Amino acid sequence: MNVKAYLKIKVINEKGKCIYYRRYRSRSFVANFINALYIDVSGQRITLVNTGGGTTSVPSGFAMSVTDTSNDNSYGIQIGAGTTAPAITDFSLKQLIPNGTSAGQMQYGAVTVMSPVINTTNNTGYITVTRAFTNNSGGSITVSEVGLVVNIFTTPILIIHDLLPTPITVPNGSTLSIAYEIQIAT
Amino acid sequence: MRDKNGKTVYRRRYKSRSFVEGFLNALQNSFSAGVGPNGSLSSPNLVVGSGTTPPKITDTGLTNQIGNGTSPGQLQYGNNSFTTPIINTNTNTGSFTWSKTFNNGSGGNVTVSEVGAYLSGTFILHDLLPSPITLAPNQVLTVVYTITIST
Repeated sequence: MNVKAYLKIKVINEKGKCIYYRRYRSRSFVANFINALYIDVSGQRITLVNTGGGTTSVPSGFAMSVTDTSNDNSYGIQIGAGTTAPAITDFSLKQLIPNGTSAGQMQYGAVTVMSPVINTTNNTGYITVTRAFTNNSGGSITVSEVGLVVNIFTTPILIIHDLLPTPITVPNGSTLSIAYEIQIAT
Repeated sequence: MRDKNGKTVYRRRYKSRSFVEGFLNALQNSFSAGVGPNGSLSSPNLVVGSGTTPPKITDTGLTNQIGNGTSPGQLQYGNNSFTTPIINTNTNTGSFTWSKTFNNGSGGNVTVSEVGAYLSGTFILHDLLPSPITLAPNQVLTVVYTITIST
């Protein structure tokens, strides 16, 4: 399959300086993704597992929306502190870092989905989903896992789960920016 | 490909390489849509053609789609068919197949050299076959796309 996903991670400190940047190959589409795609494309009905671990049966004809407002961690890109290697049956992050300003929390920004960028010279293209997370908890927070949760008929469904090769420590006052870039090549 | 007696006379498996711009548009539309049917990836349609031009990312259809029917140069299109996803927790892989049959009831040979697919009316996939396939009268071509993920 010539679809690849990449994860771009950046940390900006409170003075606006970039103190961390990495780009990784995202490797971990999980079973919910192939099952959701199957339901939508085939019109057949099978169960998905929501982020709470419960099964849900949905009819076809849905968007896999990743949009979410700021200060909400229900959908879109999520971050966590878990360190377990992803498995295809994963339905949630291992240890979600919730939205907020209390200890161990980060403020979730709104999710942005950019229009496709097409390069006709090398026959490649990509779309990008981004979200910023601001640490106003009063202490440093370590992020070690990232996921993408879609909204299917208001049910949160995890479709990608990545463990970062190296955990990132986000100082208080800094903003972590995460982008999933989904690429195709023809 | 099967002959009129149902015997398999040709079988090849290739890696599909050519998702095109429409796939990204459909995915972006689905990702950015609100809750509900707008942005769904529905109305699947596999198609075959006789074009020989290498696929480009901007393609919006096959180069030369073979029509549905029994006239010369046409093939009878079957229904789109799917198998339920298989999830292998040992290898952390999952896949489902999307297939369609094309029956040659035209009375003459028909050559297939390209394959493609639509979702929600958008052309998403275009593959040029490494070797064209010629269907004799009453032979049936089955095209199967296997969509695979790994974790």
